[in-house]
Amino acid sequence: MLLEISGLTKAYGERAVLRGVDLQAGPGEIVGLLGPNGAGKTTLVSIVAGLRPADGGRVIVDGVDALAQPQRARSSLGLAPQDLGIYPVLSVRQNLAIFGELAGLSGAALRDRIDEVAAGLELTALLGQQAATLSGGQKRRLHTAMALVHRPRLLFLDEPTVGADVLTRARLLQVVRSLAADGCAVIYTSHYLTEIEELAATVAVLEGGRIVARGSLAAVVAEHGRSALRLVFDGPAPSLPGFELDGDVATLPTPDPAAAAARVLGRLDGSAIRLRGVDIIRPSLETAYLALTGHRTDDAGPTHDAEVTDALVA
Amino acid sequence: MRWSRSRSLMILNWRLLLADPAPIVVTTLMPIVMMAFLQGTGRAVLRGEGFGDANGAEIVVPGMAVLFAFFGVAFIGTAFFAEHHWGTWERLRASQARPLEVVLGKILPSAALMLGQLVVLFVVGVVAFGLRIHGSILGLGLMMIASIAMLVALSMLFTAVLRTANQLMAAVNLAAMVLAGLGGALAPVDVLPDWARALAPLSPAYWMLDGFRSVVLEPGGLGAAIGPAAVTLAFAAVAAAISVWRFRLTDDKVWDG
Repeated sequence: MLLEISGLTKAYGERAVLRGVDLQAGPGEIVGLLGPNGAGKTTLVSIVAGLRPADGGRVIVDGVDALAQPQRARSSLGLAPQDLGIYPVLSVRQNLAIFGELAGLSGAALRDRIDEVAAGLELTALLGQQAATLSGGQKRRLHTAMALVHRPRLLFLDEPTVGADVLTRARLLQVVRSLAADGCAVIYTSHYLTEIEELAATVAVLEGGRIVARGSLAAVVAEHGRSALRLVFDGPAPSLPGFELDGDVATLPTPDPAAAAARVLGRLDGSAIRLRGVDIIRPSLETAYLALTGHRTDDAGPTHDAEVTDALVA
Repeated sequence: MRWSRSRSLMILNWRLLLADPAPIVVTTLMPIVMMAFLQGTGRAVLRGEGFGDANGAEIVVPGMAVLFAFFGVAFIGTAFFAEHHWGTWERLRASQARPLEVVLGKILPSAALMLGQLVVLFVVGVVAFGLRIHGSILGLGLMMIASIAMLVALSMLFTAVLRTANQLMAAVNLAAMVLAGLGGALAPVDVLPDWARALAPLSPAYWMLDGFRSVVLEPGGLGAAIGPAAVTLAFAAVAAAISVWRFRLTDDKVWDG
């Protein structure tokens, strides 16, 4: 394993942010670390990178106790924080060189590595350009490249595609895949669930300071994904038995949304004329995520869903 | 500490400092302009004190050099605040550089710059304003180094305790005018009001200027500079101790400038 976290705890004053986090990542693995804002993703990343102290637990990075020996652990670790971090007054090459030099690279090895990383992120033509003059997407690519220049075995990318254009996003995802193919473990935090699906990453969902779901994408979707029938109305959705109402949307969690639609649609009575859309929602990472982080208290399972549908149809 | 990392960080910070040379140029040119304005006043004051062959540069050059060296305190503080502004502070901390290497990498280039500024101002004093060093050149060097040590420690103190760049600039301006003024940089301590004369020894600038006076205006040897240099270094030690006590790598700094 390149990353082994066990029982990690962290509180800010009275507020517990991490309540015993366990997480592992092996060589070549991309871990999609998901969770709502404030779930503790950035705190977790900061602790592993040695930027914040932990209150308890263990963090092993490439065999090194990262809490006891953060300096040693950092030699295996690359971090691209959530917020852009580049020197605007330096050139792209100088931005890359400084972090390579701090990792012990010099001379031809440093030049070759800069060229390699720049080529991977389409920065070659910009190496001599001052970073301040780059576009937003180019800055984002440089920001990521600075975390790669010393060939980390464990890479943290904290929401790397925020504000990135389509080309930049595609390029970044390609680089992540390529790094994983070379044996690097990548911890990838994002709010864009489609990116996790595109990367075929394993998934870890952080909620309430704990990892509440961990496994392959298929396993997490199979275990936590929900299917549902969603009706969209012109104006406020009418009160329907078993449906969750949210403005003009009524959602019925059900294991068989097509059958539920067949039963429900004929019984809308006066509301039918206001119906604007019918969606069959299949289990996906998004529905799994919502079930884990936003709808946990409603997670009564298929039996409950069937009962509700039966009540509506009766 | 590893020399290659320290060197890389110093080169980095040297580049960052020189990327916008305007503050350095201004804090070097302004005292030269002020010397031209104040030399006549300085000559009158010194002749009144009995230095019949003095031309005024003997107190005006050290006075302006010390006053504007205090403004240079902003160089180091700004270097730290800018890292937070650029988002690079966390990156440096997550790199393999040790905290001491990061801090020294920021301090030493600025300290060298401040020392260079002092040297340039004294050289300009000699060349353009007829400054004559009556005492020990070694003593002069000792006072320059002690002064820079004090100013570096003061800049670290400000960096450690202040949260925003605006607070830093306000503190630097206040410290420069109050401490340097109280120490005799604007006018000799002898002509200051009674209350200011009583408070003057509490300012490190007083001891800096006392040391410079002993080797520039008076024919003091290296020994004459040791006392004022020691007191200046004592101020530096206190400021450095508070800095070490209060400085946190994890503190957030806000660039609101």
